[in-house]
Amino acid sequence: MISNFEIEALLLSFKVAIWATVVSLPLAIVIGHTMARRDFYGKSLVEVLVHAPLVVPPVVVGYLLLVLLAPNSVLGGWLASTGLSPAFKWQGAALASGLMALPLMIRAIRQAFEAEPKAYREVAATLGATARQRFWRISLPLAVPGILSGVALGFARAIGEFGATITFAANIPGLTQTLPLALYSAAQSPGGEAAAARLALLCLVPAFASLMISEWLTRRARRKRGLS
Amino acid sequence: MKSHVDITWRLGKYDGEARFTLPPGVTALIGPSGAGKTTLARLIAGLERPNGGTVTLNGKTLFAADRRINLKPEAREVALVPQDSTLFPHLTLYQNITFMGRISEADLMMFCERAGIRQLLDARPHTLSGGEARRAAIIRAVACNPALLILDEPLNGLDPLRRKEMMALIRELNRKASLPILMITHQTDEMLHTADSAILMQDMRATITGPLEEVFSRPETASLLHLDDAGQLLSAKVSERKSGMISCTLGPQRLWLPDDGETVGSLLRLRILAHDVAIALEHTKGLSIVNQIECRLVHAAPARGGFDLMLVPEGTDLQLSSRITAHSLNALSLKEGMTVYALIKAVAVKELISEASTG
Repeated sequence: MISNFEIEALLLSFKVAIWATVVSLPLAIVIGHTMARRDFYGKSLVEVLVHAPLVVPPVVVGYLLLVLLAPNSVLGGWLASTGLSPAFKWQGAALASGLMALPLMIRAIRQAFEAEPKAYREVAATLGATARQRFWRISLPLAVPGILSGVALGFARAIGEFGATITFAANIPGLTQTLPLALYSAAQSPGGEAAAARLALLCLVPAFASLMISEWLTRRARRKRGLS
Repeated sequence: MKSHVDITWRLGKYDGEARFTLPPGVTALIGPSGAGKTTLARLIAGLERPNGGTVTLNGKTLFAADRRINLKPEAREVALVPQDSTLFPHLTLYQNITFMGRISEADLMMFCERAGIRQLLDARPHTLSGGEARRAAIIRAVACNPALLILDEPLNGLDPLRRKEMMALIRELNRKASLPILMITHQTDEMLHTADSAILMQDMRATITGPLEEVFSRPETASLLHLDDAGQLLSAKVSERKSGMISCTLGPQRLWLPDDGETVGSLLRLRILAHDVAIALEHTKGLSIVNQIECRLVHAAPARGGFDLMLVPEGTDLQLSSRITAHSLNALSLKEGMTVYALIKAVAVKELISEASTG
């Protein structure tokens, strides 16, 4: 049945995808909120940069990370000297897949903030709530359904991430070899068809599961507010 | 501690100006739809920025163009309840009304009880009726202990019974919490039943202002509010109860009206329409009309279908008006300065507000 090697890839995938999502989430909320509420000089440029991973080939993203953070680059060299170099480690896989997941999360979260009627914030202000209180007590809780669907999309994207991860973190079994990478290796090796099929199945399960959980959480949150 | 608004603004293609002093009672901001009433409310609350002028509330400067003062909405203590109530959908009713609550739990529960939302505190906003949500939004604003409460069309879309309850609630909140209230409305009867003072607004200008009786008797008011039935407002104290009637003092004279259970000593606001007042040259016997008020005829002006007479009951500085035909004017040879008797059927006196006298 499922070999230890496959279990290892599965667990590693979860670890990488969870870290990628958890670390991206606050960033996605800050960027999504800023993009929804503020107009500033250079907003379109930021928009392009943030969305770039959606359209740029993942390999290119991985390559750019490598150029930027490889131990022989300036930034990478400094990180390596402090022992924090992410290249060729699971943290690198998490960084690469988090970067690929970020745009999807930002999109969903930004839309959630944009959907909030301005009247709620205005009324809260006249009741004496400061900008900070309005964010924590009105905008953020109201955006929860959107944030959840952003998390699910991001998680599914991170756990399925291939191109950027293999380029930046490489395909090292037990270290950076996540499910898609293991599937790639199995499909490449003679006699690996059965393993490849099992790995493909293992890839599908968390992706679908996370989408279904998010759908359920979103429905529940909407029902509580009488929106559906 | 004066509250004063003196501002000009330009929003989109509209210029506006407002100049008035805000008294401590309930003030109606009245005018046709599109006159800029909501905009003015938002300017006072700090949600829009005036171009020039000053806004002071209880002596605190909220906005002063020349001193570059423009307090944020949250620093103004002006609670605004918009037309669509906007309870926060992710919070229960209790969480909503305690959102920024600054009054004691006991006071809060007293207001909830009074507004009839005490049993609904665990409910989610989307399960409430329009009237319940409206009252809850008002209580939420009162709970923040603001220095001014602005209600935007609080009676819109309520059925007649709920309207009556809401009008009473607004006056009670004003008295109990000694909270000045600015109430936006486009309906005359809402103003007459609720407000102590009025600000008239038309075409982005709010400049006609004063105590309700005064504003209401101005000729501009009638045309602005399209008042078909001219008439006067009177404030009078209940002095006596006798054989199914109560009497109110009009100076040395009495005005009788049907007993609706008002307490002796309470203060009534009455409205007497001009076409409900007939004229006699002397005190007359053998009439079903109990009220024969001795008045001085001050002024006669042509009006639709005849003449409007302006009458001052003897011994008072109050006003009554009477609409009579040109034929009657001539037949009785009415002249300004004459003493006449205003005949008013008790049942024709409309009682708008009844409340305990505050001394």
